[in-house]
Amino acid sequence: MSKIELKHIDKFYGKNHILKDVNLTIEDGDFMTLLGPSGCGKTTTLRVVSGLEKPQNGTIHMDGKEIVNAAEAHFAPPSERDLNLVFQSYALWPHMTVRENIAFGLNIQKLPKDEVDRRIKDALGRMQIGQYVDRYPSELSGGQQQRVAIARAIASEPHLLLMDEPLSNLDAKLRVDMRSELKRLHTETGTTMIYVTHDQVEALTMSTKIAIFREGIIIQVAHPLELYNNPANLYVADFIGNPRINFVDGKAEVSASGLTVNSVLGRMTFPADHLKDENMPQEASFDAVLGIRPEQIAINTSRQSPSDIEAHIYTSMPAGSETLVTVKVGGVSMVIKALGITHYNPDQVVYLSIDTTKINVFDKKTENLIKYSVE
Amino acid sequence: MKPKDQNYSKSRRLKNQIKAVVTNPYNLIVLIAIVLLTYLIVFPLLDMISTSFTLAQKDARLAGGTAGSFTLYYWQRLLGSALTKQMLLQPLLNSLLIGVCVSFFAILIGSVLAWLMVRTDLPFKPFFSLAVIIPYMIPSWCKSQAWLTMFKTERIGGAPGFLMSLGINVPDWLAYGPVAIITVLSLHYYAYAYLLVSAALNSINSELEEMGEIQGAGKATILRKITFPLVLPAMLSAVILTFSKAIGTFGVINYLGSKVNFVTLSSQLYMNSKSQNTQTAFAMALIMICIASISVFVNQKLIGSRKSYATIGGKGGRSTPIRLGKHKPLITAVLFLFFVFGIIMPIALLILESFMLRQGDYSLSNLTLHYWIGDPIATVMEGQPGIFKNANFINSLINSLKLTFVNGVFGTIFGQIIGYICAKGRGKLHGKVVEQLVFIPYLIPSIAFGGIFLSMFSAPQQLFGVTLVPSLYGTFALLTITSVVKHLPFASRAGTSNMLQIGGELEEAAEIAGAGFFKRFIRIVFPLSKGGFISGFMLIFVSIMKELDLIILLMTPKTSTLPYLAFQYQNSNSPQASDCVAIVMFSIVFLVYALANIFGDADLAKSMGG
Repeated sequence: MSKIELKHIDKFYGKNHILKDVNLTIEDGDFMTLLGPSGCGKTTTLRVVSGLEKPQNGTIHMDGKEIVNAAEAHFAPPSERDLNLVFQSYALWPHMTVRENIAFGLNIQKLPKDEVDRRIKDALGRMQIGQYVDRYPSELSGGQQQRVAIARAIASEPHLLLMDEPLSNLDAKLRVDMRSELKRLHTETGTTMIYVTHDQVEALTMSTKIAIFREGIIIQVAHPLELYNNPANLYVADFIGNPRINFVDGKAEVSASGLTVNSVLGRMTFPADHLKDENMPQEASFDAVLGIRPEQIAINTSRQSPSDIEAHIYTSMPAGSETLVTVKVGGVSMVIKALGITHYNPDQVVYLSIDTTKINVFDKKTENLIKYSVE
Repeated sequence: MKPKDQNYSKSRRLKNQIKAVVTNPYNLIVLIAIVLLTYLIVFPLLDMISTSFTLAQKDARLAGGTAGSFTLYYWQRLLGSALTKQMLLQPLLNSLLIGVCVSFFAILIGSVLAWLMVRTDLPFKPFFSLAVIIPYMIPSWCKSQAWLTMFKTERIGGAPGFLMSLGINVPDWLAYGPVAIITVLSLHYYAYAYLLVSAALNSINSELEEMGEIQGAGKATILRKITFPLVLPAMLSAVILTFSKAIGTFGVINYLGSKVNFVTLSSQLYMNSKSQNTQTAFAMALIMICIASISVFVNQKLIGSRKSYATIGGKGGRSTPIRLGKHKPLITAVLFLFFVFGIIMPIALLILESFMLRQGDYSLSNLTLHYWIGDPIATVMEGQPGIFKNANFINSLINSLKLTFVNGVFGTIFGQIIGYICAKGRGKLHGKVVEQLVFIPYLIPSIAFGGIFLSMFSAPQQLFGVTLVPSLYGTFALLTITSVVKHLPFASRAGTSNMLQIGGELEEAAEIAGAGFFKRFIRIVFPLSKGGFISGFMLIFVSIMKELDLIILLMTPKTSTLPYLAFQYQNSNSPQASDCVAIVMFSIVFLVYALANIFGDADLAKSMGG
């Protein structure tokens, strides 16, 4: 229903350059998450799309129609963009009941009364809070207020729904519940959504696409699993994934057959068709970083194969369904995720086996990915 | 810098830019606000400066120039002539003496009271907390009236005061002059320090003090090393507020100083203004503005970045009262005495005196209702009837009510709108401009402020030959404009804090929903700031009801208000009638304050976080 194209967007606050030449296309029906640490420009991007902020450069098209053209100082007001926004603080008007909160925008659109009533009922029903229609926001719990805020946003049946960290004020359990509700809402309505969060789990579990921001620049836009498996650079690799990815420094050599990396983990060879040629350095030999996800390492108490790597247990932290084990290999520490409950003693000797087809290799100098993960 | 889209068109850009500015009512409101503020605040100030350099008709011959030409005559006479000592230095020193002493005592009393009320387990707190702010509601000139009733001596002729009639000989230095003035003003202005410091104390988390206790600090050390530094910014703010008010005050000086020729800058300013020495008066006003500006500047330097202390520690937190222990009965008794002598007695004396036919005769047979409801007697008050049968009084009462009501309404609305601009424009140029403009009246002493507006609006205001504003001399409109503008710093400050409490997202949510500027203001901003509107209204109401200094120069018999009537009665040696008027006025103030407390959350401190 709605395709949004941001081209060359620049946004300054005074001298601060907040968004730096942001280009982003959101396809119709996408659940696009803008992900990044605080202050990286993701909320600003959302507000630029919503029309609450005016960028200094760039254009935005919505379904081919130009809604922003900074060069011509053309900025369509928010109300003409057929979108709605869920604020981080919910921004429920405290002097209006739930019904009045939702009806406010519908009445401005001059919808007939029975249509307004139907929309209110629908929206509240969808968010399962129909019984609170005559309460004031202060009489609702945080989770219920959150639902009202979403109901208010979807009642206008927007083509584009924007959400600015909507779950960050909820407690951990409610957050998990609301995640699945939002995902369900997306599949049921098919509305294009732009979702801002700094929580990578939210991003990975809900989105169809994720845009990673860093200091006002979009670093990578990709499907969540693609992002996880093949982060474009060290920054993304480090940001995505919990527990964090393990980085191991090594010396790389390129040959006709592929890439060889020597590190404390021994000698690893990667075939040429797993390599990202455009990022490959010109030199024959260079510094590289191995990126190994904690679940890509198997841990055993005895040697299973000659290529296994000897390591010493540092700590072992059982967390129920999994155990996080920190080991030391030649002075480098690595975190390993082992399924189930296992127990290791400190300083115990263990053996690690790593599936080299799945791990990533980065160029240390440019920080870019040079070797894909292959399933 | 970057490839622009090819459909870039300069004319379309210009058209869109103009459309965006013109169709946004916010821009229009900001523009109107800046124009109005410039006209009502900057122009008068410039006018005042230029007037002090312009030779007046009546001085032309003496100064040897033509009327209307540029002259340093007035400044030279004020700053470097044989008259300087008498005209400027003595009044200046007196003003500074009053300002410094009053600030010191008022802050001392106010801070100690605030600490006792907020931090300790003082008994009867509900009673005390009401009692301590009563001085804020009684105008300072009422208190000086009470002082005279108590301590009056026969020096000035007339009847003896209460103490004299008991046979106690009151020395002149106690009855009149600096001691009397400083005492009365300190008893008046401590309320400001009390309100500001107690607000600061309330926002300090008592865990900060408890942490000190855990570290092994004694009560005195905690008070000195932790509590005191945390409330210091609030105390300094109170100093500035008190200092600038004290040097600008006129009523009290007139009551208690004029009899012994104790003059200050403000009373000199009044005298010069009254005797048409406008240029000299303005030059003195400018000197007073400089003093006020310097004190604000020093204050800002002193507080600097530490301004935000009070809010550190965040949510107010739990507050565990400090036990007064064995000092409790003593402190309570002292407080009671303070209230009896400082607050109840003045009021009681005023009431008593208002029933006395002849002053200084405390016998039962002398009691009368004459000054309240009596018919005219030729021998008393030149045949004027009691106030409730007196057309002058009724007229003044109506004027006062009208003035306060109209001012309350307009002052609050303007204050809230300017507050809205300041809150929305935070960190932006237009916000800063408005904030600075609106602060200027704060620096101008009340009496000088009245003087500027008097001179500015006495003649019709013209622009390119078109009369914009007709001559307003002696009109109600002039009183209204003067009071509204003078109270703008407080009203807009209250408005700003009010508007800042409304999250920006609430308005943005309405913008997303498609609500235009006016709809947002009416449906979202206004309902949410209603409480602030009401308490803002009450504050301006109370403040203007007791106002004397500001409007004294603007008064004509037709526009007389209650404070002015009381002032006139006092000056024409009819203190009883003056008492009656003061009591009526005080009752109204108290009633309105009580109503505001019951129906709104009028927070007096909010309006003056200076």
